[in-house]
Amino acid sequence: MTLKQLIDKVMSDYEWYQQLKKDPAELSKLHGLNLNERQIDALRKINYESIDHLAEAFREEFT
Amino acid sequence: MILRGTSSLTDPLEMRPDGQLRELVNDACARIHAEFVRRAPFLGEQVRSWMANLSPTGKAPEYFLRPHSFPLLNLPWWAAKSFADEPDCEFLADVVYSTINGYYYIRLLDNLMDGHDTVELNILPATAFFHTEFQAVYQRYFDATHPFWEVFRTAWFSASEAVTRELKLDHIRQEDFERVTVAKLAGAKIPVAAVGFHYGAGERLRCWEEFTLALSRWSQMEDDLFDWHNDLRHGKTSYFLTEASRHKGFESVEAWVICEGFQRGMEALRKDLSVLRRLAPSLHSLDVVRYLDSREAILERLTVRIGGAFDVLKEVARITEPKAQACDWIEFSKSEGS
Repeated sequence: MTLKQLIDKVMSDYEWYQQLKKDPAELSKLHGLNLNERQIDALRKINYESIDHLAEAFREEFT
Repeated sequence: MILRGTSSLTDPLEMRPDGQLRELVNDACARIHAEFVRRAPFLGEQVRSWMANLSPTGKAPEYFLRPHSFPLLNLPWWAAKSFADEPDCEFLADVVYSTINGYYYIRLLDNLMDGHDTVELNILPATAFFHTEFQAVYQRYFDATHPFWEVFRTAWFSASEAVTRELKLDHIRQEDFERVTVAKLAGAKIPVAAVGFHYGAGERLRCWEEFTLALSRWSQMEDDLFDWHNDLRHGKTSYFLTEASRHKGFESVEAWVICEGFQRGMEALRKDLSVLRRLAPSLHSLDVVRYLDSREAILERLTVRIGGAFDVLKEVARITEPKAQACDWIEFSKSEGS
């Protein structure tokens, strides 16, 4: 995904972001991202905590 | 288009409004409702819900007391405290009442002009109330020939002129930002000038006016930076987004903000905060110093927090699209340009 697609999703699609944190494999399936095992493993290892307040910091409401 | 300060992030370093000001704001909102009940109850009921809905807590006074907001009501309050040991509470209650009415007048029109309106068209006649109450209060204190009215006219009309000009701008370059965007906030000088004249502050009023203008400029820059994604989504222009379009090269605005723009925006805010600090001593106001300390602490915390979040986003982009390295285009464009 590009940074543009990523930030749009993180800022305005709460369900999508929660799925990324919880289960990137399921997210890949549901949204046709075609991620391989290595990519999914790498996404699982990421600490997403700092992103949690990004939408709030930029004054966006999750829709 | 006007400073809304909608962030709800909480911070232990935030400066809380003092109890006396809180009371004046509560009283002013209650006074607006009471005047409506007495003079225009049908319209007043709709205005009451509109005022409540603007506030994230559903309580109108809270809207004006949030620590991230531009200190529109604090400035005249702090100025009064710097001019006199015992502030004239009746006068300050009137200033707060006037300023809140002035704010609602602008906000109602602004929501309509921005296309953010919900019920604003239905309650448009309430502008008659808000404008009258905003202005009429000062007639008790300043006769028709008093120099206050020249400040009032100049500030109020130049703000209206600037709002209209900004609507026509597709891009906001630095000169537009200084001449138009900042000028929209000139109305903030009115309550400060009222306080200065009331207390006979003389030359010190000029210092407060200069600080008010500089703080308006700073707050507008902050608003542009933190509203960038919202503005982008709604097709609004701003100085920050104009700069983004100029610098992004072949990449998206989003990528530029994440890789470079946000840091640049924060550096500009830091630099301008030091300008505000240089103006502060002439005000003799500990409240202002505390306010600037609090803003600086919030800025530093956000720099770390958002910088960390952007690093994570870059990592996710690198994993999900390994061929397109997250900030490569930005780096490439910069090296080509240099």
